[in-house]
Formats: sequence, C-alpha cells, structure tokens
Amino acid sequence: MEESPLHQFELQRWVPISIGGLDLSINKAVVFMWVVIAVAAVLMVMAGSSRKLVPGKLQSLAEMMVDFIRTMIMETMGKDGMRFFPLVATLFVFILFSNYIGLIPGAYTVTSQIIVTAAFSFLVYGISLVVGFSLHGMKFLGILIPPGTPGWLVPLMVPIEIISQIARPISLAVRLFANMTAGHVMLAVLFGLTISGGVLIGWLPFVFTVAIYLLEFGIAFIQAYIFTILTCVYLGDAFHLHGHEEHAH
Amino acid sequence: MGLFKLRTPSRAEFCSRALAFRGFGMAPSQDPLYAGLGQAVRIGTELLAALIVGGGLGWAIDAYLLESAPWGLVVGLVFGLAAGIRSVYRSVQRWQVAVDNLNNRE
Repeated sequence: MEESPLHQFELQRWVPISIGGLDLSINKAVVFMWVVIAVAAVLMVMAGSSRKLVPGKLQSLAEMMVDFIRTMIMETMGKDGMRFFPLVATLFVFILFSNYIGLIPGAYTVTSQIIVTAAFSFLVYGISLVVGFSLHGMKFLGILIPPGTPGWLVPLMVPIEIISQIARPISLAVRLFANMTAGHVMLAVLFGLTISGGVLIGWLPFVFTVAIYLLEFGIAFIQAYIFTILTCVYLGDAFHLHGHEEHAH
Repeated sequence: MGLFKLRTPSRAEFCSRALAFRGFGMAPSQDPLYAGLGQAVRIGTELLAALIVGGGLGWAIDAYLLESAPWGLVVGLVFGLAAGIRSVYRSVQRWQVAVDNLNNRE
C-alpha cells in the first residue's frame, strides 16, 4: 500500500452543508477543532475549580501556564498590555492544544491548515491596526518611519517598512502552518519507509520516526510560544508606538 | 521511565522550589533555551516573508500598474530584502534588550 505522505491532510466532507453557495461542510478539521476546544475548556475548568493553596498536578500546570502568558505580556507590552490577556491566552491555549492533539496518531492537526493560522494572524494584525489607529490616530502612520531616521532616508524607509509590515501577518501564518505540516510529512515519510523497509532495514527509519516524534513535542510548544509572543510584540508596537525602550523592563 | 512522571511535590518542596524559581529571577519566557530556539525559528521566516512580499508587490506593479517589467520586480526584491534584514535586525535588537535586563537583574 503506497500512500502519499500528504494524504493525511486531505479533508473529506463528512456532513455536507451549503448555505447560499458557501461550503460550510463539517469535515475532520472542523471536528478536531471542536475536540481541541472541548479538551482545553474541560481541562482548564477542572484545573480552576479546586483553587487550593498548595495546588495539585492539574492546578499547578494551569498556574504555570497562566504565569507564563502573564510574564510574556508584561515583558513585551508592560502592565497596560494585560487588557489583551484573554485574547493572548486563548490563542496560546488553542494553538498549544491543537499542536499536541495533532501529535496523537490518527488525530488531525488543525494548525496544519494555512487558513486556520492565517485567520489567527490576520485577526491579530487587524486588532493591532485598530488599536494603533484608535489610540494614536493618524500619528500611528509614524510606525512607518523608525525613530532616528535622517530626513533624506524617509522616502527609502517608508516602502521598506510597508513591506515589513505586510510581511508580518504572512510570516506569522506561514511559520506555524509550515512547521506543523513539515513535521507531520516527515513523520509520514519516515514511517512509510519503516513499513516498506521490512525488519532488516526498517528499524533505521523507525528510530528516526521516534526521534522526530519526540522533537515534534518540543516544536509543538515552541511554535505556540512564538505565535503568542509575536502577537504580544505586534500588539505592543501598536500600543506604545516607538516606546519600547521605556517599557522594555 | 521516570522522565515523564508527574508527581505532586510536598509542601516544603513546593515552597523551596517556588523560592528558587523566584530567586533565580528568570521568567519562563526568558529561559535561554526557549528564547534561543524561538529566535532561530523566527528569523528564517521573517527574512523570507519580507522577500516574497517585496517581490510580489514589485511584480504586481509590473503586471497591473506600470507595465515596467522587469524593473518593478527587481526594485521590489531589493526593497523586500532590505525589509527582511531590517525586521531580523529589529528582532535581534529586542532580544538584546531582554538579555541586558536579565543581566541587570542578577
């Protein structure tokens, strides 16, 4: 049985729904998105229900996570940034849980669909634009001119900064999507080699499968972390507008 | 394997660990391992995304606005490269601030 390593990302319509020409069918990705939300919500509610002074396993994990997100926000945005805590924490928990649930054999990695990651990154970037323009008005366009730019460099810097601003949501989306997809393709290829290699040579790709699988556990966390910290950085840029130096500590 | 076993620490152990954690003054996101890996993974995509956006904008100007092929693409790629290097430079600069803060705190 030869199977393409990309086969795992194909989506079939399980429950075809079409409303006004829009394809809203329920497929594996949708179902696993619900699973991720359900698992994350149940675990978090369970962790938060006891509220002991000396926390149990689940509660200390949840407290570590909240503390982790809080430090991330404080470092990048300062104290005012805590108003974005719900958004940032939701993104982090959702991405973390979908990365980890995707690592269960047979499960679907929601974040391996670029439309999911793109929806998140454009949402974040859109919010940062709204926050920037509502806080600073037209002065927010000054983000295109970095502080300390000599006057004659301005016509050169503005297109460069426009490009790097447009690149922000794109790189945010592509990074998460590409890392999750590449990891799963690699696992599929190596495991395919194991199956077709037989006992004599198949152990070699199998060792690599296990090694890459363990590596993917780290990647799953690091990618969720990077996505969230960049969310904080972009929101902080819009929030402070060249003011990192005073808020950096 | 004991590596993945999770156990509840005793109260004394928990307090001493919490104190050690605070005393060390290192927030989890400043852990050098995560910070370093985070930086390493970020920089590549940032460079590439800016290059693609720059080239894409140049190409679009060529194709739809000025019919100036290939000069829009050439200029766009140069600007994209500059933007990519600029954003990598900026993120490394931000990292340096974090490292300085860490050193000052100790």
